[in-house]
Amino acid sequence: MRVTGLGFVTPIGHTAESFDDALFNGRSAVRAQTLGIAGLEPIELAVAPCDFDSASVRSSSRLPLDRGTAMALAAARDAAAQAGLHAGSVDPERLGIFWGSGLAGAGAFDDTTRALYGGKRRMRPTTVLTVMPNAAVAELALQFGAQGAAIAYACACASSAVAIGEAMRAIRGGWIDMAVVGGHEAMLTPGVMASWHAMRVTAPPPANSPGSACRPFSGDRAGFALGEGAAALVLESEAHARARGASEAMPFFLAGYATNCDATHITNPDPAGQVRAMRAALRDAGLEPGQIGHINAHGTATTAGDAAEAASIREVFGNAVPVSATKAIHGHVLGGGGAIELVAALRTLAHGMLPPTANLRLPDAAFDLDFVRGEPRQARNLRYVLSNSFAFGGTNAVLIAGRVTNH
Amino acid sequence: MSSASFSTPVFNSIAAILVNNFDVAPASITPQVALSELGLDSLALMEFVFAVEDAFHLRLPEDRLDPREAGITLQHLCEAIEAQIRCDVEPAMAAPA
Repeated sequence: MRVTGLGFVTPIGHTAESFDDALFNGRSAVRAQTLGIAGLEPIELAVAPCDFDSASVRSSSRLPLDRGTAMALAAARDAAAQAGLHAGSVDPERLGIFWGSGLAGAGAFDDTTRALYGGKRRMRPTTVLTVMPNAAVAELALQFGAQGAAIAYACACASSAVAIGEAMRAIRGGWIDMAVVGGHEAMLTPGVMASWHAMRVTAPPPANSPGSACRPFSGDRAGFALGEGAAALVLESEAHARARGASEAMPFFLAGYATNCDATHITNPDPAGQVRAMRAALRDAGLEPGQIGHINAHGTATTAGDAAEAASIREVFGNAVPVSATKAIHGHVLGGGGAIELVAALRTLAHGMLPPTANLRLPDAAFDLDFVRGEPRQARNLRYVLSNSFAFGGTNAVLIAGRVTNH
Repeated sequence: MSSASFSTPVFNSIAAILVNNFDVAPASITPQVALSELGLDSLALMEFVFAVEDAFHLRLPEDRLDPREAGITLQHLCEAIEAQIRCDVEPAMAAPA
Protein backbone atom coordinates (compact mmCIF):
# COMPACT_ATOMS: atom_id res chain seq x y z
CA MET A 1 0.00 0.00 0.00
CA ARG A 2 1.99 2.94 -1.28
CA VAL A 3 1.83 6.48 0.10
CA THR A 4 2.42 8.65 -2.96
CA GLY A 5 1.39 12.04 -1.62
CA LEU A 6 1.42 13.93 1.65
CA GLY A 7 0.00 17.33 2.57
CA PHE A 8 -0.77 19.05 5.84
CA VAL A 9 -1.84 22.22 7.62
CA THR A 10 -0.72 21.99 11.24
CA PRO A 11 0.11 24.24 14.18
CA ILE A 12 3.78 23.37 13.58
CA GLY A 13 3.69 24.31 9.92
CA HIS A 14 2.47 23.43 6.46
CA THR A 15 5.77 22.31 4.93
CA ALA A 16 8.08 19.38 5.68
CA GLU A 17 10.82 21.84 6.64
CA SER A 18 8.84 23.70 9.32
CA PHE A 19 7.15 20.49 10.54
CA ASP A 20 10.50 18.69 10.91
CA ASP A 21 12.09 21.65 12.62
CA ALA A 22 9.44 21.66 15.36
CA LEU A 23 9.14 17.85 15.50
CA PHE A 24 12.82 17.05 16.03
CA ASN A 25 13.58 20.08 18.20
CA GLY A 26 10.51 19.61 20.35
CA ARG A 27 9.36 23.15 19.62
CA SER A 28 5.81 23.66 20.85
CA ALA A 29 3.19 25.73 19.00
CA VAL A 30 1.00 25.79 22.11
CA ARG A 31 0.12 29.20 23.47
CA ALA A 32 -2.17 30.70 26.09
CA GLN A 33 -5.59 32.05 25.26
CA THR A 34 -8.11 33.72 27.53
CA LEU A 35 -11.69 32.97 26.60
CA GLY A 36 -14.22 35.61 27.53
CA ILE A 37 -17.86 34.54 27.26
CA ALA A 38 -20.58 36.71 28.77
CA GLY A 39 -21.88 35.08 31.92
CA LEU A 40 -18.83 32.84 32.45
CA GLU A 41 -15.68 33.44 34.42
CA PRO A 42 -12.76 34.02 32.02
CA ILE A 43 -11.29 30.68 30.93
CA GLU A 44 -7.53 30.21 30.57
CA LEU A 45 -6.74 27.69 27.86
CA ALA A 46 -3.69 26.28 26.15
CA VAL A 47 -4.32 26.09 22.41
CA ALA A 48 -2.35 25.33 19.26
CA PRO A 49 -3.83 27.31 16.36
CA CYS A 50 -2.64 27.13 12.76
CA ASP A 51 -1.24 30.11 10.92
CA PHE A 52 -3.74 29.63 8.11
CA ASP A 53 -5.96 32.02 6.17
CA SER A 54 -9.05 29.91 5.50
CA ALA A 55 -10.74 32.75 3.58
CA SER A 56 -8.14 32.42 0.83
CA VAL A 57 -9.23 28.86 -0.04
CA ARG A 58 -11.71 28.48 -2.90
CA SER A 59 -13.63 25.29 -3.54
CA SER A 60 -15.15 23.71 -6.62
CA SER A 61 -18.64 24.32 -5.21
CA ARG A 62 -17.87 28.04 -4.81
CA LEU A 63 -19.75 27.94 -1.51
CA PRO A 64 -18.29 29.41 1.68
CA LEU A 65 -16.18 26.89 3.57
CA ASP A 66 -15.92 25.91 7.18
CA ARG A 67 -12.35 26.57 8.36
CA GLY A 68 -11.76 22.84 8.75
CA THR A 69 -12.95 22.13 5.22
CA ALA A 70 -10.63 24.84 3.92
CA MET A 71 -7.73 23.18 5.76
CA ALA A 72 -8.77 19.79 4.38
CA LEU A 73 -8.76 21.14 0.82
CA ALA A 74 -5.39 22.82 1.25
CA ALA A 75 -3.80 19.67 2.70
CA ALA A 76 -5.38 17.37 0.11
CA ARG A 77 -4.35 19.60 -2.80
CA ASP A 78 -0.74 19.45 -1.62
CA ALA A 79 -0.92 15.67 -1.26
CA ALA A 80 -2.53 15.26 -4.69
CA ALA A 81 0.01 17.53 -6.37
CA GLN A 82 2.81 15.42 -4.93
CA ALA A 83 1.13 12.24 -6.14
CA GLY A 84 0.41 13.67 -9.59
CA LEU A 85 -3.34 13.23 -9.02
CA HIS A 86 -5.85 15.63 -10.50
CA ALA A 87 -9.46 15.27 -11.64
CA GLY A 88 -9.46 13.13 -14.77
CA SER A 89 -5.95 11.70 -14.31
CA VAL A 90 -7.19 8.36 -12.93
CA ASP A 91 -10.34 6.25 -13.31
CA PRO A 92 -12.85 8.28 -11.25
CA GLU A 93 -14.86 5.21 -10.28
CA ARG A 94 -11.74 3.66 -8.72
CA LEU A 95 -10.86 6.76 -6.66
CA GLY A 96 -12.27 7.28 -3.16
CA ILE A 97 -12.26 9.87 -0.38
CA PHE A 98 -11.95 8.54 3.19
CA TRP A 99 -11.87 11.35 5.69
CA GLY A 100 -12.17 11.70 9.46
CA SER A 101 -13.23 14.47 11.78
CA GLY A 102 -14.44 14.35 15.37
CA LEU A 103 -16.69 17.36 15.73
CA ALA A 104 -16.58 18.29 12.03
CA GLY A 105 -18.66 21.46 11.62
CA ALA A 106 -19.14 22.18 15.32
CA GLY A 107 -16.87 25.22 15.06
CA ALA A 108 -18.77 26.57 12.06
CA PHE A 109 -22.09 25.98 13.80
CA ASP A 110 -20.81 27.74 16.91
CA ASP A 111 -19.82 30.76 14.80
CA THR A 112 -23.09 30.84 12.87
CA THR A 113 -25.41 30.52 15.84
CA ARG A 114 -23.36 33.02 17.85
CA ALA A 115 -23.90 35.54 15.05
CA LEU A 116 -27.60 34.72 14.94
CA TYR A 117 -28.18 34.99 18.68
CA GLY A 118 -25.99 38.07 18.70
CA GLY A 119 -28.39 39.93 16.44
CA LYS A 120 -27.65 38.80 12.90
CA ARG A 121 -30.97 39.15 11.18
CA ARG A 122 -31.00 35.96 9.19
CA MET A 123 -29.49 32.53 9.03
CA ARG A 124 -26.82 31.88 6.48
CA PRO A 125 -28.42 29.85 3.63
CA THR A 126 -25.56 27.35 3.39
CA THR A 127 -25.16 26.70 7.13
CA VAL A 128 -26.22 23.06 6.86
CA LEU A 129 -23.74 22.44 4.06
CA THR A 130 -20.79 23.86 5.99
CA VAL A 131 -21.71 22.10 9.22
CA MET A 132 -22.61 18.59 8.04
CA PRO A 133 -20.00 16.00 9.05
CA ASN A 134 -19.30 15.10 5.41
CA ALA A 135 -18.80 18.73 4.32
CA ALA A 136 -15.08 18.24 3.74
CA VAL A 137 -15.56 14.84 2.13
CA ALA A 138 -18.04 16.31 -0.35
CA GLU A 139 -15.69 19.15 -1.33
CA LEU A 140 -12.79 16.72 -1.70
CA ALA A 141 -14.84 14.42 -3.94
CA LEU A 142 -15.77 17.40 -6.13
CA GLN A 143 -12.19 18.58 -6.20
CA PHE A 144 -10.77 15.29 -7.44
CA GLY A 145 -13.82 13.91 -9.25
CA ALA A 146 -13.77 10.91 -6.94
CA GLN A 147 -16.74 8.69 -7.79
CA GLY A 148 -15.64 5.47 -6.09
CA ALA A 149 -16.49 6.40 -2.49
CA ALA A 150 -16.82 9.50 -0.33
CA ILE A 151 -17.14 8.55 3.32
CA ALA A 152 -16.84 10.61 6.49
CA TYR A 153 -15.65 8.80 9.60
CA ALA A 154 -16.60 10.12 13.01
CA CYS A 155 -15.08 8.29 15.94
CA ALA A 156 -13.72 11.19 17.98
CA CYS A 157 -9.94 11.19 18.32
CA ALA A 158 -9.53 8.05 16.19
CA SER A 159 -11.53 9.44 13.23
CA SER A 160 -8.75 10.13 10.75
CA ALA A 161 -6.73 7.04 11.73
CA VAL A 162 -9.83 4.94 11.08
CA ALA A 163 -10.47 6.74 7.76
CA ILE A 164 -6.93 5.98 6.61
CA GLY A 165 -7.12 2.36 7.70
CA GLU A 166 -10.53 1.78 6.12
CA ALA A 167 -9.25 3.22 2.83
CA MET A 168 -6.37 0.77 2.97
CA ARG A 169 -8.88 -2.06 3.43
CA ALA A 170 -11.00 -0.82 0.50
CA ILE A 171 -7.93 -0.75 -1.76
CA ARG A 172 -6.71 -4.13 -0.56
CA GLY A 173 -10.20 -5.55 -1.05
CA GLY A 174 -10.15 -4.42 -4.66
CA TRP A 175 -13.09 -2.02 -4.37
CA ILE A 176 -10.97 0.97 -5.41
CA ASP A 177 -7.36 1.53 -6.53
CA MET A 178 -6.58 4.85 -4.97
CA ALA A 179 -7.81 7.17 -2.22
CA VAL A 180 -7.32 10.62 -0.80
CA VAL A 181 -7.38 10.04 2.95
CA GLY A 182 -6.86 11.87 6.20
CA GLY A 183 -8.79 14.16 8.48
CA HIS A 184 -9.17 17.54 10.04
CA GLU A 185 -10.45 19.41 13.04
CA ALA A 186 -11.00 23.14 13.42
CA MET A 187 -13.05 23.99 16.45
CA LEU A 188 -11.15 26.72 18.25
CA THR A 189 -14.35 28.75 18.64
CA PRO A 190 -15.63 29.99 22.01
CA GLY A 191 -18.51 27.57 22.58
CA VAL A 192 -16.54 24.50 21.54
CA MET A 193 -13.43 25.46 23.52
CA ALA A 194 -15.61 26.10 26.59
CA SER A 195 -17.17 22.65 26.10
CA TRP A 196 -13.75 20.98 26.20
CA HIS A 197 -12.72 23.06 29.19
CA ALA A 198 -15.88 22.00 31.02
CA MET A 199 -14.81 18.33 30.66
CA ARG A 200 -11.68 19.10 32.71
CA VAL A 201 -9.35 17.42 30.25
CA THR A 202 -7.57 20.52 28.99
CA ALA A 203 -4.30 21.71 30.49
CA PRO A 204 -3.97 25.15 32.05
CA PRO A 205 -1.23 27.22 30.37
CA PRO A 206 1.73 27.81 32.74
CA ALA A 207 2.15 31.57 33.12
CA ASN A 208 5.76 31.80 31.98
CA SER A 209 5.85 28.90 29.53
CA PRO A 210 2.50 28.22 27.85
CA GLY A 211 4.32 25.94 25.39
CA SER A 212 4.86 23.44 28.21
CA ALA A 213 1.14 23.09 29.02
CA CYS A 214 0.87 19.58 27.54
CA ARG A 215 3.31 17.13 29.17
CA PRO A 216 2.61 13.59 27.94
CA PHE A 217 3.69 10.72 30.23
CA SER A 218 5.10 13.20 32.71
CA GLY A 219 4.54 12.76 36.43
CA ASP A 220 3.03 16.25 36.50
CA ARG A 221 0.89 15.95 33.35
CA ALA A 222 -2.29 17.99 33.41
CA GLY A 223 -4.19 17.35 30.20
CA PHE A 224 -3.98 18.47 26.60
CA ALA A 225 -3.95 21.62 24.53
CA LEU A 226 -6.64 21.93 21.88
CA GLY A 227 -5.19 22.07 18.39
CA GLU A 228 -6.51 22.46 14.88
CA GLY A 229 -5.33 21.33 11.48
CA ALA A 230 -5.60 18.79 8.69
CA ALA A 231 -3.44 16.15 7.07
CA ALA A 232 -3.96 14.22 3.85
CA LEU A 233 -2.28 11.28 2.17
CA VAL A 234 -2.71 9.73 -1.23
CA LEU A 235 -2.85 5.94 -0.91
CA GLU A 236 -2.78 3.52 -3.81
CA SER A 237 -2.06 -0.09 -4.49
CA GLU A 238 1.47 -0.93 -5.57
CA ALA A 239 0.11 -2.20 -8.89
CA HIS A 240 -1.83 1.01 -9.54
CA ALA A 241 1.13 3.22 -8.64
CA ARG A 242 3.38 1.23 -10.97
CA ALA A 243 0.87 1.14 -13.82
CA ARG A 244 0.43 4.91 -13.87
CA GLY A 245 4.13 5.54 -13.40
CA ALA A 246 3.74 7.29 -10.04
CA SER A 247 6.85 8.98 -8.72
CA GLU A 248 8.90 6.82 -6.38
CA ALA A 249 10.27 9.87 -4.60
CA MET A 250 8.24 8.99 -1.52
CA PRO A 251 9.52 5.73 0.00
CA PHE A 252 6.61 5.15 2.38
CA PHE A 253 3.93 2.52 2.64
CA LEU A 254 1.20 1.52 5.06
CA ALA A 255 1.93 -1.90 6.48
CA GLY A 256 -0.90 -2.56 8.88
CA TYR A 257 -4.07 -1.32 10.51
CA ALA A 258 -6.53 -2.41 13.12
CA THR A 259 -9.50 -0.89 14.83
CA ASN A 260 -11.70 -2.16 17.64
CA CYS A 261 -13.67 -0.84 20.59
CA ASP A 262 -13.13 -1.09 24.35
CA ALA A 263 -16.89 -1.21 24.89
CA THR A 264 -16.29 -0.66 28.58
CA HIS A 265 -16.68 3.09 29.22
CA ILE A 266 -17.34 6.26 27.22
CA THR A 267 -14.17 8.08 28.29
CA ASN A 268 -12.09 5.82 30.53
CA PRO A 269 -9.71 3.87 28.28
CA ASP A 270 -9.28 0.13 28.75
CA PRO A 271 -5.70 -1.14 28.32
CA ALA A 272 -7.03 -4.57 27.32
CA GLY A 273 -8.79 -3.07 24.29
CA GLN A 274 -5.67 -1.15 23.31
CA VAL A 275 -3.55 -4.31 23.62
CA ARG A 276 -5.95 -6.17 21.33
CA ALA A 277 -5.84 -3.32 18.79
CA MET A 278 -2.01 -3.12 18.71
CA ARG A 279 -1.66 -6.90 18.40
CA ALA A 280 -4.25 -6.98 15.61
CA ALA A 281 -2.36 -4.25 13.71
CA LEU A 282 0.89 -6.22 14.08
CA ARG A 283 -0.84 -9.35 12.74
CA ASP A 284 -2.30 -7.32 9.87
CA ALA A 285 1.20 -6.14 8.95
CA GLY A 286 2.73 -9.59 9.49
CA LEU A 287 5.18 -8.16 12.01
CA GLU A 288 6.50 -9.16 15.41
CA PRO A 289 6.56 -6.51 18.17
CA GLY A 290 10.37 -6.39 17.97
CA GLN A 291 10.24 -5.22 14.35
CA ILE A 292 8.58 -1.93 15.33
CA GLY A 293 11.31 0.69 15.64
CA HIS A 294 9.28 3.49 17.19
CA ILE A 295 5.84 4.17 18.67
CA ASN A 296 4.04 7.47 18.18
CA ALA A 297 1.77 7.25 21.19
CA HIS A 298 -1.71 8.72 21.46
CA GLY A 299 -0.25 10.47 24.54
CA THR A 300 -2.90 13.04 25.42
CA ALA A 301 -1.27 13.87 28.79
CA THR A 302 -4.45 13.15 30.72
CA THR A 303 -3.95 11.24 33.97
CA ALA A 304 -6.02 8.23 32.96
CA GLY A 305 -5.23 8.23 29.24
CA ASP A 306 -1.44 8.08 29.56
CA ALA A 307 -1.62 5.50 32.36
CA ALA A 308 -3.74 3.16 30.24
CA GLU A 309 -1.54 3.57 27.17
CA ALA A 310 1.71 3.13 29.10
CA ALA A 311 0.33 -0.13 30.46
CA SER A 312 -0.89 -1.40 27.09
CA ILE A 313 2.36 -0.55 25.25
CA ARG A 314 4.34 -2.22 28.04
CA GLU A 315 2.25 -5.37 27.70
CA VAL A 316 2.64 -5.65 23.90
CA PHE A 317 6.21 -4.40 23.46
CA GLY A 318 7.91 -4.62 26.86
CA ASN A 319 10.13 -1.61 27.36
CA ALA A 320 12.35 -2.14 24.33
CA VAL A 321 10.61 0.05 21.75
CA PRO A 322 11.18 3.83 22.02
CA VAL A 323 8.02 5.90 22.56
CA SER A 324 7.25 9.55 21.73
CA ALA A 325 4.10 11.66 22.03
CA THR A 326 3.94 14.65 19.71
CA LYS A 327 0.73 16.23 21.00
CA ALA A 328 3.03 18.21 23.30
CA ILE A 329 3.98 20.41 20.33
CA HIS A 330 1.00 20.38 17.92
CA GLY A 331 -1.77 20.01 20.45
CA HIS A 332 -4.62 17.57 20.32
CA VAL A 333 -6.12 17.87 16.86
CA LEU A 334 -8.87 15.40 17.83
CA GLY A 335 -10.38 13.85 14.70
CA GLY A 336 -7.45 15.12 12.62
CA GLY A 337 -4.85 13.95 15.15
CA GLY A 338 -4.38 10.43 13.79
CA ALA A 339 -3.54 11.78 10.33
CA ILE A 340 -1.18 14.48 11.63
CA GLU A 341 0.55 11.94 13.86
CA LEU A 342 0.90 9.61 10.89
CA VAL A 343 2.66 12.50 9.13
CA ALA A 344 4.97 12.66 12.16
CA ALA A 345 5.56 8.91 11.81
CA LEU A 346 6.45 9.30 8.13
CA ARG A 347 8.83 12.19 8.86
CA THR A 348 10.39 9.99 11.55
CA LEU A 349 10.90 7.26 8.93
CA ALA A 350 12.19 9.80 6.40
CA HIS A 351 15.00 10.92 8.71
CA GLY A 352 15.72 7.72 10.61
CA MET A 353 15.49 9.90 13.68
CA LEU A 354 13.06 9.67 16.61
CA PRO A 355 11.39 12.88 17.79
CA PRO A 356 11.58 13.74 21.48
CA THR A 357 8.47 14.05 23.61
CA ALA A 358 8.59 17.74 24.42
CA ASN A 359 8.03 18.84 28.02
CA LEU A 360 8.81 15.38 29.36
CA ARG A 361 11.46 16.05 31.98
CA LEU A 362 10.45 13.50 34.57
CA PRO A 363 8.35 10.56 33.34
CA ASP A 364 5.70 9.20 35.68
CA ALA A 365 7.57 6.73 37.90
CA ALA A 366 4.85 4.15 37.32
CA PHE A 367 5.61 3.95 33.57
CA ASP A 368 8.29 1.45 32.55
CA LEU A 369 8.89 2.53 28.94
CA ASP A 370 11.77 3.91 26.88
CA PHE A 371 10.61 7.49 26.32
CA VAL A 372 12.51 9.60 23.80
CA ARG A 373 12.97 12.95 25.52
CA GLY A 374 15.22 15.98 25.51
CA GLU A 375 17.04 15.33 22.24
CA PRO A 376 15.98 13.51 19.09
CA ARG A 377 17.49 10.04 18.85
CA GLN A 378 19.21 8.51 15.83
CA ALA A 379 17.64 5.21 14.79
CA ARG A 380 19.66 3.08 12.41
CA ASN A 381 17.70 0.93 9.95
CA LEU A 382 14.36 2.29 11.10
CA ARG A 383 11.73 0.43 9.05
CA TYR A 384 8.41 0.53 10.90
CA VAL A 385 6.66 3.10 13.10
CA LEU A 386 3.41 2.36 14.91
CA SER A 387 0.92 5.16 15.61
CA ASN A 388 -1.85 4.87 18.20
CA SER A 389 -5.15 6.75 18.24
CA PHE A 390 -7.55 6.06 21.10
CA ALA A 391 -10.90 7.81 21.22
CA PHE A 392 -13.74 8.87 23.46
CA GLY A 393 -16.38 6.26 22.83
CA GLY A 394 -13.80 3.51 23.16
CA THR A 395 -12.70 3.27 19.52
CA ASN A 396 -9.04 2.30 19.14
CA ALA A 397 -7.14 2.62 15.86
CA VAL A 398 -3.56 1.55 15.21
CA LEU A 399 -1.64 2.27 12.00
CA ILE A 400 1.78 0.88 11.09
CA ALA A 401 3.79 2.81 8.50
CA GLY A 402 6.91 1.54 6.80
CA ARG A 403 9.82 2.70 4.69
CA VAL A 404 11.04 0.74 1.67
CA THR A 405 14.60 -0.36 2.20
CA ASN A 406 16.04 -0.13 -1.30
CA HIS A 407 16.01 3.67 -1.26
CA MET B 1 -21.47 49.38 -25.26
CA SER B 2 -22.79 51.69 -22.60
CA SER B 3 -22.21 49.05 -19.93
CA ALA B 4 -18.45 49.36 -20.27
CA SER B 5 -18.54 52.80 -18.72
CA PHE B 6 -21.04 51.88 -15.96
CA SER B 7 -19.29 52.37 -12.69
CA THR B 8 -20.76 53.25 -9.33
CA PRO B 9 -19.36 52.41 -5.90
CA VAL B 10 -22.20 49.94 -5.34
CA PHE B 11 -21.68 48.19 -8.67
CA ASN B 12 -17.92 48.05 -8.16
CA SER B 13 -18.40 46.53 -4.71
CA ILE B 14 -20.70 43.77 -5.87
CA ALA B 15 -18.46 43.09 -8.87
CA ALA B 16 -15.53 42.67 -6.46
CA ILE B 17 -17.56 40.19 -4.38
CA LEU B 18 -18.39 38.17 -7.49
CA VAL B 19 -14.76 38.07 -8.60
CA ASN B 20 -13.12 37.52 -5.22
CA ASN B 21 -15.61 35.24 -3.48
CA PHE B 22 -17.29 33.41 -6.34
CA ASP B 23 -14.63 33.20 -9.04
CA VAL B 24 -16.82 34.93 -11.64
CA ALA B 25 -14.83 36.18 -14.63
CA PRO B 26 -14.64 40.02 -14.55
CA ALA B 27 -15.49 40.26 -18.26
CA SER B 28 -18.89 38.69 -17.70
CA ILE B 29 -19.92 41.19 -15.01
CA THR B 30 -22.06 43.91 -16.57
CA PRO B 31 -25.14 45.75 -15.29
CA GLN B 32 -27.31 44.00 -17.85
CA VAL B 33 -26.31 40.47 -16.92
CA ALA B 34 -29.00 38.56 -15.07
CA LEU B 35 -28.11 36.91 -11.75
CA SER B 36 -29.15 33.64 -13.32
CA GLU B 37 -26.50 34.11 -16.02
CA LEU B 38 -23.52 34.39 -13.68
CA GLY B 39 -22.86 30.67 -13.70
CA LEU B 40 -23.77 30.31 -10.02
CA ASP B 41 -26.25 27.74 -8.81
CA SER B 42 -29.19 28.74 -6.61
CA LEU B 43 -27.29 28.15 -3.35
CA ALA B 44 -24.31 30.16 -4.48
CA LEU B 45 -26.66 32.96 -5.58
CA MET B 46 -28.24 33.01 -2.13
CA GLU B 47 -24.77 33.17 -0.59
CA PHE B 48 -23.87 35.97 -3.00
CA VAL B 49 -26.86 38.05 -1.90
CA PHE B 50 -25.96 37.22 1.72
CA ALA B 51 -22.41 38.46 1.11
CA VAL B 52 -23.75 41.65 -0.48
CA GLU B 53 -25.99 42.25 2.53
CA ASP B 54 -23.01 41.77 4.84
CA ALA B 55 -20.84 44.11 2.80
CA PHE B 56 -23.42 46.92 2.86
CA HIS B 57 -24.70 46.17 6.38
CA LEU B 58 -28.28 45.93 5.20
CA ARG B 59 -30.96 43.40 4.46
CA LEU B 60 -32.64 43.23 1.09
CA PRO B 61 -36.36 42.47 1.33
CA GLU B 62 -37.02 39.09 -0.21
CA ASP B 63 -40.16 40.25 -1.98
CA ARG B 64 -38.02 42.75 -3.82
CA LEU B 65 -35.20 40.43 -4.71
CA ASP B 66 -35.51 36.69 -4.90
CA PRO B 67 -32.26 35.72 -6.62
CA ARG B 68 -33.83 32.56 -8.00
CA GLU B 69 -36.22 34.64 -10.03
CA ALA B 70 -35.14 34.97 -13.64
CA GLY B 71 -34.51 38.35 -15.16
CA ILE B 72 -33.12 40.21 -12.16
CA THR B 73 -29.95 41.92 -13.36
CA LEU B 74 -26.97 43.31 -11.49
CA GLN B 75 -28.40 46.75 -12.28
CA HIS B 76 -31.60 45.78 -10.46
CA LEU B 77 -29.53 44.54 -7.55
CA CYS B 78 -27.66 47.86 -7.42
CA GLU B 79 -30.94 49.76 -7.39
CA ALA B 80 -32.30 47.57 -4.61
CA ILE B 81 -29.16 48.16 -2.54
CA GLU B 82 -29.26 51.92 -3.12
CA ALA B 83 -32.93 52.07 -2.18
CA GLN B 84 -32.25 50.06 0.97
CA ILE B 85 -29.30 52.25 1.92
CA ARG B 86 -31.63 55.26 1.77
CA CYS B 87 -34.37 53.72 3.89
CA ASP B 88 -31.94 52.04 6.33
CA VAL B 89 -29.82 55.10 7.04
CA GLU B 90 -31.85 56.54 9.88
CA PRO B 91 -32.70 53.33 11.78
CA ALA B 92 -29.15 52.04 11.29
CA MET B 93 -27.68 55.18 12.77
CA ALA B 94 -30.03 54.97 15.72
CA ALA B 95 -29.35 51.28 16.35
CA PRO B 96 -26.74 50.20 18.87
CA ALA B 97 -23.47 48.98 17.37
